[in-house]
Amino acid sequence: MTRALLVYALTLLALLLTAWLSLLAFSQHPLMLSGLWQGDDMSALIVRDVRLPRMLVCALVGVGLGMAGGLLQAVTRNALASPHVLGINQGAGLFVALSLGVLQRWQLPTLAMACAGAALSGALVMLLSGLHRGRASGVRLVLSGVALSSLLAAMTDGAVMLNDELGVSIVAFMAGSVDGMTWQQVAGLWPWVLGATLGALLLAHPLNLLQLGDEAAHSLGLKTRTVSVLCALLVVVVAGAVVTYVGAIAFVCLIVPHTARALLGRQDYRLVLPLAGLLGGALMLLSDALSRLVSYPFESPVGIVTALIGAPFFLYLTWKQRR
Amino acid sequence: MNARCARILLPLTLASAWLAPVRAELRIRHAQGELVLPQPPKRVVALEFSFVDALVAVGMAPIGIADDRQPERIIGPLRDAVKGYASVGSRYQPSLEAIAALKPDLIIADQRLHQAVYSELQAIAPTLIVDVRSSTYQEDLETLQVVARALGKEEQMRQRLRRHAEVMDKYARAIENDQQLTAVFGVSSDKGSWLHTEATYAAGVLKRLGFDTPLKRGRNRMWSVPYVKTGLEQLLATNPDILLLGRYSQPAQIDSWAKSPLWRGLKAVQNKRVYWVDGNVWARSRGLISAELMTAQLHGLLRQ
Amino acid sequence: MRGTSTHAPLLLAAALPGALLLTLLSLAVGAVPLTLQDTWHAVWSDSSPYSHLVLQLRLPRTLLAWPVGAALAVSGALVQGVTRNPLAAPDVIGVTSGAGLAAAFVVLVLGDMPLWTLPLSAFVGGLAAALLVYRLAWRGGVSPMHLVLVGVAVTQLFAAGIDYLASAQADRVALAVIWLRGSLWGRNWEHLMLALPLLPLLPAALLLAQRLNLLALGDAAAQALGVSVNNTRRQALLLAVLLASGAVAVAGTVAFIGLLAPHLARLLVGADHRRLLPLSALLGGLLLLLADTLGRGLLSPLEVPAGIMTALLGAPYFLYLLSRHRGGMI
Repeated sequence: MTRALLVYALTLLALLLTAWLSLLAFSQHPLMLSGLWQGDDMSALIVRDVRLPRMLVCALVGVGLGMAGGLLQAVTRNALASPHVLGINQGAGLFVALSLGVLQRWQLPTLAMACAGAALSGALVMLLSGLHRGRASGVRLVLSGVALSSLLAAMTDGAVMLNDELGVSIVAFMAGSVDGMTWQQVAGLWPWVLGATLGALLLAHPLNLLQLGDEAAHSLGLKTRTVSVLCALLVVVVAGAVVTYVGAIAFVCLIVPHTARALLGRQDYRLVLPLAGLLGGALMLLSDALSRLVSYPFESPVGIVTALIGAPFFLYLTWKQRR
Repeated sequence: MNARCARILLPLTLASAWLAPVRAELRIRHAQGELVLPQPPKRVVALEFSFVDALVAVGMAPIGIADDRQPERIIGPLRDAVKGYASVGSRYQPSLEAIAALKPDLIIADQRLHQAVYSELQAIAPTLIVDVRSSTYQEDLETLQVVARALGKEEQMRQRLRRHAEVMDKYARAIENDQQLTAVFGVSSDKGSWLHTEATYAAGVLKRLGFDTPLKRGRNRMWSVPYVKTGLEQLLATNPDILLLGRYSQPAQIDSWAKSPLWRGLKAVQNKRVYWVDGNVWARSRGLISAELMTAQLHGLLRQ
Repeated sequence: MRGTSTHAPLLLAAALPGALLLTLLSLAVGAVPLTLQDTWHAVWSDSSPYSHLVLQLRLPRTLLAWPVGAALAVSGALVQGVTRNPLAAPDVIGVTSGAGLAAAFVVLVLGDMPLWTLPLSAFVGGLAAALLVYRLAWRGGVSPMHLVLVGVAVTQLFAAGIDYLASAQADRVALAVIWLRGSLWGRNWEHLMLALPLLPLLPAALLLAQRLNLLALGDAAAQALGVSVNNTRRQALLLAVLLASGAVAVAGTVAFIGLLAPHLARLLVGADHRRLLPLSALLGGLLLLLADTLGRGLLSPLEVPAGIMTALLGAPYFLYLLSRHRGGMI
């Protein structure tokens, strides 16, 4: 228990530190913490109107993705599953490309389109893998996602083929960026993340049981199919919300739950899932801060930074898994 | 003796004098070495918009253009001159068949895009390869000379370039940037906004007119990119005196920035020097005539 | 086992002339539409005005569709056999993204390199990626599930790498995309030469057919029947990687053929690899040819890359998959 307390305390500290970095660091303007509550000069306004909403979006995205990753790994019983492979991002990307390209004259709001695309591809992947019939396994889910992703990616390519500016936009969208975040996005995102957090906490104990294996869980009275479906639904909803606002952020969902489990030393999802959320938040905030440093004074997409941090870390994790 | 020599030599001299102008062979050095054309070309296929500009500038019209199947991408001043051309498809993957069907005697291609199919193009017709996509305004002017040489119109191009320099000088004087104002061109879509740094075409044209850019990125570093994705914070730090924007979607990201109180922190906003321009002309066209069009537009905007 | 054995000889008998006819039809399509008569004339006589068009511009790419499509299809069938899952594809073992990353690196970072470096780097990249996946997935053997999950994660890694390069070098992206996008545009006789080494690999796959049939019964059962499970998997994967890397090196990353062709073949002749592999090869070539032909003809003179056409053709099939499968196969 003390280990868990220590880990949580340190994570919260990391969260605060990275939040501070994300809020104030690496700017060409002199930003100060006091800008949060006083001052009408440009620096204070930047802190309040540009940095603060962006920091909050990053934190929310990190929490959402961290937990989504944890949920998916729990339901597929494999440490290498991630919502990114389910094709949700590609679905959102395709619909956005369509709305900005071929369907441009109808002026469809990008947000709604991204949401629709994410939801549709999420539903498709669940249907394809047979989740609704309780026949899904980790492999089926992932393979369905891969097949669907490549289909959607190719279709997106087709949609942008004729329009090179659109191509640049889509690449930027898919690379994940938070530089245009306003309070509107914060308002849109927090209900989903809150809902997902509550859902995850409720599902945590059933998920613990699920780790014992289908038959064992069944014999303990667990409705495995319901739990799987609810879990998958939560994952799709959160991942969809994130990609709608921010684009495709790589690796957070993959390495954060892993790290949470490793730090806690055990697999109790009642502890792992919230920690995964906090760690995800810290990672996103750190990436946000670093995205301003990589090619200072210019910015890089935050998805690139999470990939730069996450990729070597992921390789290390997979290597360790071999033992 | 003299009369007999004269009777042989005179016709020979006359004959050679008559034969000499027919050797109108053109030799041009380009990215792929040396291109040899037996005579000035008449049927030219242009695989990038810059080349259309160059052809019209010396009074020629291409028989085929890679226009992405969107003729509206050809800017206004050029449209009438090229009427009746045949589309050969997209600039990135022009249809080799369509090009061959036109039976051209010269194809002008871009180094970045068409290097991969150079040998196929060369099999259809002599192909000139030059770089117009990653070049600056100044480099483009030099490239125009190379293109003109391949067309056998070097003198016309020289004159046209002189006239171009006069036009640009005239506008530079009329605009008269004695306050050393800075200007930046950028594009904004729904998903992001990008500013063009000093290594871009738009920045080159602006510099020619006397407007320097605060965005110095250079091209020597491996990762230096001409277009930088920008947030409101960076825009405020860049803070140019004049901001020219191309719109890629309605609404664009910049529109939401314009609603923030920080927007008024921009010098360009305070001095009412934020202008929306046609992205097609300012970003995609890259040519002599389009530069003059950009300049005329800028002059008109600044006078308001 | 679905599909009766009487179908197979019929299909094979119809296959060869059918393939020839389709090739001829494909040669007639393009920015300059030709009649079948003109096309035939152009192929055989020197006096036709369309000789250059047909023989130099269309024939190489039409012929190229066969080895490339077949290689991708057989590669897919092998991967599906190894993982015992019909939704697996060569992309899953990281080949396509590895090849893509290597090519993207050459184009976007190294810049002006001679053209032959592109197929070479793609081949090496694909191979290296698959090797990485295999090593990482090795745990005293390679379980299909673990292979898939590691493969997918590594693919993500490389895809992130490609995204990074693409966004860092935005002005050169167009060129990389031309190549990354699977297409037969601009492919000539040299590319066909590059694809020839793929041909001997196709019958080599047949040698594994019976062992793959036994593997489908499950690891334990196969072992009991005398099949060396790990060796078979290793050999099948190696072949799959060579085939896929070779195909990608020549035509770019054509999505979907490795997934669709074996699937369709399975519907027609069942799961016996001795019939499945050859039919997959045939269907793979057919699909790619069809995609390339449609891509050339639909929006002429604009060419829709074959990789995109296969995706568009695959989409309705996907939905059909959803309605059809009641578990079992998937």
